[in-house]
Parts: sequence; structure tokens; C-alpha cells
Amino acid sequence: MPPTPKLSIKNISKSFSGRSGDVKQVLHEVSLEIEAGEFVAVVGASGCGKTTFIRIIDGLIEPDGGEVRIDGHVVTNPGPDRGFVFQHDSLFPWRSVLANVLFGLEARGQPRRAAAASSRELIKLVGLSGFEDHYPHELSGGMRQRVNLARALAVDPQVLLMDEPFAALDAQTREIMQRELLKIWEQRKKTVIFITHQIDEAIYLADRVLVFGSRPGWVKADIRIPFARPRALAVKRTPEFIGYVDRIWNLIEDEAVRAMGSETPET
Amino acid sequence: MPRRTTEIKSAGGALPATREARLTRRRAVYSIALGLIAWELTGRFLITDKILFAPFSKVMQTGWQLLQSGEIWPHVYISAVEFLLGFGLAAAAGVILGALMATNRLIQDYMDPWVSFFYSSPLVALTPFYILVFGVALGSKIAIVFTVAIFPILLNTFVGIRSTDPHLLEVAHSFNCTRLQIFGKILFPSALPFVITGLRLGIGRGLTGVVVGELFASQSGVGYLIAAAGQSFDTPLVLLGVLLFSLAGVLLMGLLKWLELVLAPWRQTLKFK
Repeated sequence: MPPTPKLSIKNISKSFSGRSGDVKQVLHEVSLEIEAGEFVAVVGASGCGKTTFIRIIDGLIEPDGGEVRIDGHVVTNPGPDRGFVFQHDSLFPWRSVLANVLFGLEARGQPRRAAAASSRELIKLVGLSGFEDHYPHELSGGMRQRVNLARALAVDPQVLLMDEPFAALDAQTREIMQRELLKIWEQRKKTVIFITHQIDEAIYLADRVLVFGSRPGWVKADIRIPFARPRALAVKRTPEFIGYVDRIWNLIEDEAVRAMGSETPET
Repeated sequence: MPRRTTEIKSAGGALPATREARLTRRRAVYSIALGLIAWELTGRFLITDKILFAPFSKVMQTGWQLLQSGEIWPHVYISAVEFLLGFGLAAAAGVILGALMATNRLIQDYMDPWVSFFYSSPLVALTPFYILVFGVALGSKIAIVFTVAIFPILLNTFVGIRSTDPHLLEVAHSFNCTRLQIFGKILFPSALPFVITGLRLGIGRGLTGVVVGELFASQSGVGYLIAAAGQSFDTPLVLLGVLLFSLAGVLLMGLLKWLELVLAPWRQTLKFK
């Protein structure tokens, strides 16, 4: 018998009913398995249900059918085995950097002193030492996303779920954050699911890129990225890399163009 | 915490900002001084009828006399007790009811029409009724202050909790927070600035409540002093009473500002951005 995968997703479907009463299927029978320590990126045109997909894995949204298992256990609610990094700037404005990072531990009832100690370590890991007592509005967008990442890592989850965490950053900051994320991932060996609409970001970061088809979302392609690790940012300029970009772009081009015509906010 | 934030600000070109703030403060002092001089001159040369107006110096003189005889203190004390009890009860009840209303759909649906109705009603008009029910002593004034102050506090607490960023609630869910944690760690701190705004509105209304209650029927209090002075054509004393209420308002607002600084330090630096 093969070992149980870290994350096993079976036949997940989800529909939402719109305001006018019409039912829109967002995900249709999505199945996949992810090994421990794997970095999986999900790309797709907007409206392909990737945000819904990652929220179902976190337990924030209940699927209509199918199941998510972590180490063989069915997921029904958010749990400490998963950490979620949100796209939006979702830091608590009334909490300092340190207090934001230790939020998860505090919510779990861990003593403040121990929580603060491990949180300081994470703040150092994401490169924000010295900013512990700053408030979020005093930080740049990139720094805020570092705090966001540290906050998710603080509860020491096995699976890190990242929902377009760098989407709001400028191009340079984004590249730096990609490199930093890989460094942290190599140190902490988390299983990562990373949602993005940037193809090059997905290829640079991931061991596997899942290409989602649209309306309803389904796994159109599962592409293994063989570049050696640690990866330098320069890998993005190699012909092999560009070959992958082309291949994935061809898979989603039609849908991306179609999505532009009927832009609907993702749920 | 606030000390550290000022350090950051001073790092990034804060010098012209403080200079501007100093200028603003200086102009405020000039403005007040000019106003008082205008008051004094008007009282001395423009409106010389003693019943119609009194110069600032005369009002101060009356104040000094009352202070020396100690006559003023029982009145100030009574008015203060009326206000503080009424306002304190209104603050506690307003925050609790506002929070209940914001977090429970059933309570909200049943309370909403009444809150909207009372919030937009001039509730000081209930004064004669309250005096009939609670008598001319403390009780009726406390009830008036409570009635007029509670609605802005309740409504602002409600709106504050309701306008919590849904993304922050999602974070809380993702960390598996309990309902109590969500309230204490997310909803309440998020609503706090709104609550303070509600308290500020409540102070203004509550002071009006004290004045109206005491003007209407009472045997003591600063409002009573004003009413009695008016009946004996003692204009300086009337103006003194008004001035006392204004000072109380300014003092309470300052206290609230300080409270905001202590409770919500993250908002202070936000304002300067």
C-alpha cells in the first residue's frame, strides 16, 4: 500500500446561488493528491474557482460534495494543521506586528510569554526584526505581507494555504517576496498550496503547477516543474522557463480572454 | 506605544507638521483672546443695558464671588452627579445593547424600528413627563440624561461592530476562534473608535439633558442657578452658568480624547497620514 498523501482532495464540487436565484457551479469534481513538503501552485483565469478551492481546503467554505483529507483525516473546519495567508491586507490594525503574529497562538490559549518568544523568532525569519512594536499602517505592502506570512506560520501548520498573497505588491517587491518565501519554505518544509494568477510566479515557486479550467473550475493540467532548488530568480529568464510559461498560457488563454469579457468577482 | 509611533513620525519629515500644529495652536489662543476682548467691549460700550448683556469681567467677578462664598459648589456637585450617573448608565447600557443588536439578528430586527424612532426624536421633550414620574429631585434628571445620551452610544456601537472588515473575521475563522474570542479580539476593538464617537455625541446630548431638566423644575444645580438668575434679571450669573456648562463639555471632550489615545493608540498616527 502506498503511503497516505499529506493532502488528498476527492471529487470536490461547489455551487453558489446568485442574487437572481441562478445557481452557478464554481468547482466540479476536483480531485488531487499532494505529498508532504510539496509546493503546489494553482493558476487559472479569474472565475475558475481557485479562491473557493483553497477556502474549502482551509475549512472556511463547506463543499457541496467530496472531501478533503489531511493525513487521512477528513477536514470539516479550520484547524491548526493549516495556516492561511490571505490576499487582502488582513492584519489587525489595532495590533502591533508582534501581537498580529501571535494572534493564532493567543486564540489557542497559549501563554503570552511562550507565544511571544516563538513569534519573535518568526518575525526574524520573515526579516522584520526591530518592527515588532510597529502598527500595520506604518508598514509597506511588502512588509505587511511578511507579517501575514509570519502570522500563518506561527501556529506551526503542516499545510500552508496562500491565496494570491503577492497580488497587491509592485513587481520588484513581489520578486523579492517570492525568493524569500522559497527560502522560508526550504527551511520549514511545509506543504504549500499557492494560488496565483501570475504564471511565472507559479512556475518559479512550485514543484507542481495545477492549471484550472473555468466555469466550473476543474484541474485541466498538472505540470511538474523540474528546476533544481534552491532556485535563483535568474531561472525565470531561461528558455526552459519561458517554455513552461508558454505552455500554461496556451492552456488558459481562451478562458482568460473570455473572463475579461464577463468579469465577475470571485467568491 | 504612542511614544514609539511619534519617533517614527519624526523620522519622516515630521518637523514641518509640528511647526504647523504649533501655529494652529497659537492661532487658537489668539482667537479665544480676541473673542473675549470683543465680549468685554460689547458689554462695556455697545450693549450697556445691564439686563441685556454683561461684559466678561463682570461675569468673572460674579464667579469669583460665588467661589469665595462657596455657594457655587453644591450646584456644581448636583449637576455633576446627575450627569455622571445618567451618562454612565447610558454608556454601559448603550454599549451592551448596541453589541447585542449587532450580533443577534432577532434582537436587531425587533429593536431597529424603536432605535431609529428614538434616535431621531427630540427626547428632551419628555422632561415634564419624567418630572411627573420621578419627581423634581435627582431621579428625573438622571433619567433625562440617560434617555438622551443612550441612543447615539447604542447606534454607534452597533454601526461600529457592523462595519468590521469581513476579511478580519475570515482570519478569525481561519484561526478557529470561538464566538467570544471573535467578539473580544475582533468586533470590539474594531468598533472602539465608533463607540468613542458615540460617547462624544452622548456627552453633548447629556449636558443638554441636565440643563433642560434643571431649568424646568429643580431646587439646585447649575441649571437651576441659571433659571433663578434669569428670573431675577441677574444676567452675569446666567452667563456664568452657561460658561460652566461649556467648560464641563470641553473638559469631558478632552477626557474622551485622552481615553481614545490610551485605548486606540493605532488611530492617532493614522490621523496624521
